[in-house]
Amino acid sequence: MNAQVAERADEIKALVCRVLEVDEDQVGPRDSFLDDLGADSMKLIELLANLEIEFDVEVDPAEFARLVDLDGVYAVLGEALDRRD
Amino acid sequence: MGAFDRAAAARAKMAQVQREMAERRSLRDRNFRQKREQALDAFKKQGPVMEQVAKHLGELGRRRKQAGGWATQKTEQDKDFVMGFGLADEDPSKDPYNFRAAPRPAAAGTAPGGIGSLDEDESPLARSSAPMPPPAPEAPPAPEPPAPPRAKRRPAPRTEIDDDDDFSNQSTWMQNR
Repeated sequence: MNAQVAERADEIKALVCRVLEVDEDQVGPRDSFLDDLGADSMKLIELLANLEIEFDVEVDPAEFARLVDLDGVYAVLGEALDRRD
Repeated sequence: MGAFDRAAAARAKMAQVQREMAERRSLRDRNFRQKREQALDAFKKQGPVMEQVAKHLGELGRRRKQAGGWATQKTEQDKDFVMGFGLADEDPSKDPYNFRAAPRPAAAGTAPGGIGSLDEDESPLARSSAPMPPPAPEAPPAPEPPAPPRAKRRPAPRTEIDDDDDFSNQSTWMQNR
């Protein structure tokens, strides 16, 4: 995991929970946003947009396929931060 | 308890209720202002988020349209993929002009010189692909021997053949003689 992502993991989790409108204790690292937390594709786009703004990165929309759990979010964000730096 | 006392108690009670109501009102107003500021902040944050969402949706729509309406992961992934033919499509790590067959498993018990005994390194293909040894230095040219005198050419003696069975030499009758 990217160092910045590891440092701000709690913040990312909070952002994910805020966007998906779920409690933080409901979200595990491998819980599917779509199947377990009831998110839809629009929520994923919103999550991506929030991450881009919060971390000042640019993520390709094709990464939606990977934004399906918290580990995927960490991975996508880590790669985006690596590209930026 | 006289009427004045009851009135004073009622006034005190009324003043207490008014104070309580005022406190409640001020608390409500404070909460309202707090919530309004939070909502404003969230709305201000949501603006760029929605802008970003719209951008992503537009981009996804553009890719799907480019892919002829197919919303597959592949079409959404390759942003500016241009279909082409030729070596660019193939794996650049594989050189198509330097193909070598997979090594044969070592045949056990093969008689020397028999089928299958030719090692890959001994094959003509391997030999041909091996680097050529540098050419030997050229020997200095030997002095040319004196040319022999040219022999005079003599015309071949003409033989007149007129064989009935052999038509290959039947040309004399065409010579108008």
